[in-house]
Amino acid sequence: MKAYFVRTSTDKLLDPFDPSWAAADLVSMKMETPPIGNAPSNYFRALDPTKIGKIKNIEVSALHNGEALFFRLTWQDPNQDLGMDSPGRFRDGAGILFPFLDTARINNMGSKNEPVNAWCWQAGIETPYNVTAAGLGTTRREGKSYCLASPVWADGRWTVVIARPFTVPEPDLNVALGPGMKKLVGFAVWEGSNAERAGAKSFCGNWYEVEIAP
Amino acid sequence: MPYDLMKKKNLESCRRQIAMVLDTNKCLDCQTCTIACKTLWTYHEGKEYMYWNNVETRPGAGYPRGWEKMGGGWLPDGKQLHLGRVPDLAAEYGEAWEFNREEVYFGGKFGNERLKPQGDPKWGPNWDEDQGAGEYPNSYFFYLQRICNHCTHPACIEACPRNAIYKREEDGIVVIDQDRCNGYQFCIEACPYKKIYFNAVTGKGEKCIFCYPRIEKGVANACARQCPGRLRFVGYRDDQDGPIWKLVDKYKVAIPLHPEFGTEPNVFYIPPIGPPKFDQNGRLTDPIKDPRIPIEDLRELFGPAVDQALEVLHQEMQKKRNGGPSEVMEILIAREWKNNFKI
Repeated sequence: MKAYFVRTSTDKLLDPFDPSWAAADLVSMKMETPPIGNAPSNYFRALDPTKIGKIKNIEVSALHNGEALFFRLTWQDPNQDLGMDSPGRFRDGAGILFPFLDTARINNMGSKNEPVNAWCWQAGIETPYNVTAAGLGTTRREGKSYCLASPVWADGRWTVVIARPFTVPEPDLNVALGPGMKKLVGFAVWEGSNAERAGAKSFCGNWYEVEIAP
Repeated sequence: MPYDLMKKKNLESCRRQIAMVLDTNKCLDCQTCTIACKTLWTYHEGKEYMYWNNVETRPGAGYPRGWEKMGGGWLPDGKQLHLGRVPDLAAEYGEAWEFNREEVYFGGKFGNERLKPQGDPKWGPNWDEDQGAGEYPNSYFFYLQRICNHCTHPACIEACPRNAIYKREEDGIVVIDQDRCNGYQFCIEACPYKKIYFNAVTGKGEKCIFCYPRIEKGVANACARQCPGRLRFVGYRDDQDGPIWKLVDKYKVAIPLHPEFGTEPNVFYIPPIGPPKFDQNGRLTDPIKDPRIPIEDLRELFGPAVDQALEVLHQEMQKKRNGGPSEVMEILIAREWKNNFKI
């Protein structure tokens, strides 16, 4: 996957329907149910995996403007789930995962010595959470989130741009990104109406490589 | 970073276990306990529908409605969990009602307009309070007081993928770390007693904390201290001079609710004896051979141990009637209310 450079302001690139996005490659991803056999909860392991991971396909594009890296995710979803406004309701969501070290495994959300960094957007919440993890069940929303998101739900489809500036402090909480770099990246989506939350989600199965143009 | 996920057995372990015994026979259904809890812990936005303490009439659907059939708890092996579900706010918990107070008290209609809930509520806590079961003159009901059971083998702790729930080492009180909780609600599904609630304002799970800030100061829980019926006893499981050990272990008259759920509750009940029945001639029948509250109902709630508990209670009551001493009855009568608590 290539993140081409475009001379477009951050405000405009956050618009999922800005014409600049026409220049981006479109990568179609088949989504999978995460392995639940090693989940850190007997209860979670008892869930029926055939009912988890309702969203089977997403399309991803990437761009940068020298200031920030932008991902545009889009997938079909007839229900717009915006809230946890009462018990048993869950939000739609999308996550973008980066390993701090390329040896980290995507299946396990990293490990103690191979932590990972994720940007987690949830429908109805303006700023995506910046999350670090060192294995399943260890995600932490630590420090300030520098992530930006701009979601549009229309005609039974989410289209969401999620971005983060290249230059941010706290390198142990925010993976290093910049023009000319190649980074591993993974994607996940949550279908709120299917009670998807935590490890109950669809994920892309393997790391992709994003090549950030110089 | 990195964060170590503790083993579940470490989250479940504690040095001592605090516990409560509730004497269902003394309950007035006045709901003072419910309001004591509500005004202390759940009066904030997002908690309107929550009753960490509730009193429900049995036979009845309970709160949330039909909670016993919503799943959760352990399979007989004690390792695998039953899947459960999250109750529905309007249909099963019952939404907090808004009343037309403004109109009745300040709208100049006093005496003409009655105070009533707005909208058309179809359910609420203890909606079926005055129904019970059976046929007059032998109709029956009793009151069941419910808080979190602060279980020894809690399904909620096992269900949380983030290890946000743990037992306090010093007293075994089960609490949710509000910083760790992400509001996933697996704990609500897994708790067979449905005593964890979701706060939609904070996006986190909440539950009875056994008033631990009071316990730490040697003061009993608000629900227990406020009870006019003196039916609640609080103390440590291993304190052989306290009321809990005597009622639970020495005399075995206090038993847990739904032991088959496998979570090993630390809240125990003195089962209801109920008044005697009338026969066809209007005479009272033998309450042991022919109890008004069907023993099957009680076995369903408290398991097979209820038979022995009732037998001991009847024996101890008879001792008193005969003018003899009974340690069990002295404890349960609670002449000096402070003796109900040994913290």
